[in-house]
Amino acid sequence: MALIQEISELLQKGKAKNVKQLVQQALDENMDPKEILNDGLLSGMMTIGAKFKNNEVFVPEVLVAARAMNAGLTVLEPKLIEIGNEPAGKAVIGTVQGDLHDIGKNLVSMMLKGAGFEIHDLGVDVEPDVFIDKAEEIGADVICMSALLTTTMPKMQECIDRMKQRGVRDKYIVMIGGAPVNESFAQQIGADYYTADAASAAEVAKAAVQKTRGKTL
Amino acid sequence: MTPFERLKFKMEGKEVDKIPNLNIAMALVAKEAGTDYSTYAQDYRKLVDGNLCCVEKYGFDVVSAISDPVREAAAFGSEIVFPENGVPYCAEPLLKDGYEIEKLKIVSPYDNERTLDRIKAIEEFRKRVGGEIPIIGWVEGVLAECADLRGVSSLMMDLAEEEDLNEVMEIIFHQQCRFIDAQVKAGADIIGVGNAVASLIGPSLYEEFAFQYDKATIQYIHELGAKAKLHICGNITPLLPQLKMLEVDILDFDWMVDCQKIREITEGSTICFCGNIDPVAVMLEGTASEVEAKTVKCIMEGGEQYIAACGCEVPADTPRDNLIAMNKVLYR
Ligand code: B12
Repeated sequence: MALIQEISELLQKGKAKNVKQLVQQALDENMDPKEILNDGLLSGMMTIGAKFKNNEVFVPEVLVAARAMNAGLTVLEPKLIEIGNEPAGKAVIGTVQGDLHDIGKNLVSMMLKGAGFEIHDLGVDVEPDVFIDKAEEIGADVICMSALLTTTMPKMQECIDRMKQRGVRDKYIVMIGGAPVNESFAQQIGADYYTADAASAAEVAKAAVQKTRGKTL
Repeated sequence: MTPFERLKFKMEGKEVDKIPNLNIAMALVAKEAGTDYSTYAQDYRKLVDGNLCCVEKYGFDVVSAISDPVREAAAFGSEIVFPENGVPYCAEPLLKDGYEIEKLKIVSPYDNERTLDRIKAIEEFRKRVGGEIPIIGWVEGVLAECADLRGVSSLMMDLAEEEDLNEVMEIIFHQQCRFIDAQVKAGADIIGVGNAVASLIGPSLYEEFAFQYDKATIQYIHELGAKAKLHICGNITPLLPQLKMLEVDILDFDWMVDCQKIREITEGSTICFCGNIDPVAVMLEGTASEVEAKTVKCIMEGGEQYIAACGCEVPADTPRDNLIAMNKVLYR
């Protein structure tokens, strides 16, 4: 238990190497990989996310914490696959066409990972159809689009319109975000959710997937 | 009053006939000049024409040699991409593999096309409207320039790990001073310092890595007899107590910063603060009466030291009526 706590704390400090070592140690001590994931890595990432939201830590601290989480995950992931751990959902994420800003998108991606999502990150400058193609390919639950420029925001609308044309709009939860985006824009273009920050994005995505799964089961 | 007198008086705390309109416009300026962004960023004549159009049509009280943040990066040797209708950016960060200082070219601002183009814009402004309309020149803040050269994400992680950035920052600071000097000599009344990345870091990293350079930059501008304007878009609320100490003349603040809060914190100083109409939710998407209401609200909350502008760049597709509505309520 103390070890798990230590993983969470080192992750929050961004100590990638130490996190990796301790995750390995925890596995060697036959700890439950799910517990290492949930109470170590993910809880650490959630704590950082909440602090970021409250202006207690800032982008540099979150980026190094995210890097530490990834380092831990490289050790843990094979074990998780072995035991068949179910992800909270599958999400496709990217920054829209013409837009190269990815810091916010990466943070959302990390927080979703931290909430137990399987993430397919398409990077930056992503064309509308590429989001949809990927979502179809992997059977995604959520499509997340990020835009930081007023000139690229309309690409979000384009993607949603393409989804409609392709007859797949209802298959996916569409989430959008980025500094110039707001709730009224989300409603206007017919997106399902907007959140102002990465920590909320993870919570909303998780709740939304549970809701739709509840409906379909 | 001429725009020049208006802004001067405002900064001196004297009565003015209109609250100065200091909107930042780039894509809009290109449009007004009847050209694409790429041309506007590379041909000072277009930049000057477009700015004068905005003064004429929308009542802007400044002209500004702003277009993109990578002019200095170009001079340092970065390869720049010029999208036809987008803002120029670095093809890749020059220092992406680390602080290989020898990769930085050290040239005079007069010897690089992109920095020279900005100097020429200022000379042209001086010829056409000098002493009548305040002229703003621009440099990147030292931290922002460091981000342009290193890549933002990499720099962020370097900061978190408290790497020693002294050497690179000293080089950048020295070059920025040369560029400032050239712009003031060309006729800039005000130098804008763009330090957008500062809003990504908290007070302790700002203190460690940015404060002293921002302070020294502003001091240098003052030594040359010009005024300093600091532009950090994003949420600067956590940094406000430090920014107050910079002794900057005009502090820009973006839409997510509370106007009353900035007024409280700058109380007792002579800093004018300039913002914070939301460029998207209000200016671009709102109606003229919403723009008017928000502008009035800013004026009421901001008090005597308030200067009007959007929190960040005015989007190119902003309805013209909104720009006019904003300007109208600035007259007493
Ligand atoms: C860093 C930065 C850059 C870096 C990007 C590096 C990178 N790898 O991302 C570089 C230098 C490359 C860059 C380039 C440009 N930039 Co820039 N940039 C910024 C800056 C300083 C910070 C953006 C940022 O990372 N914020 C931090 C993150 C954490 O916040 P965020 O992205 O908003 O994300 C949070 C939320 O919005 C939300 N979120 C984000 N995405 C999503 C998605 C979903 C689904 C959800 C639910 C939530 C969500 O969660 C995140 C975390 O809480 C801002 C100014 C500022 N201080 O805000 C300008 C800014 C965004 N850039 C701007 C501009 C104009 C440009 C350029 C066009 C010109 C230029 N060179 O400056 C180019 C464009 C290149 C291109 N084609 O994209 C303008 C945009 C104006 C506008 N609104 O249209 C800004 C506002 C600055 C300015 N006024 O000049 N930029």
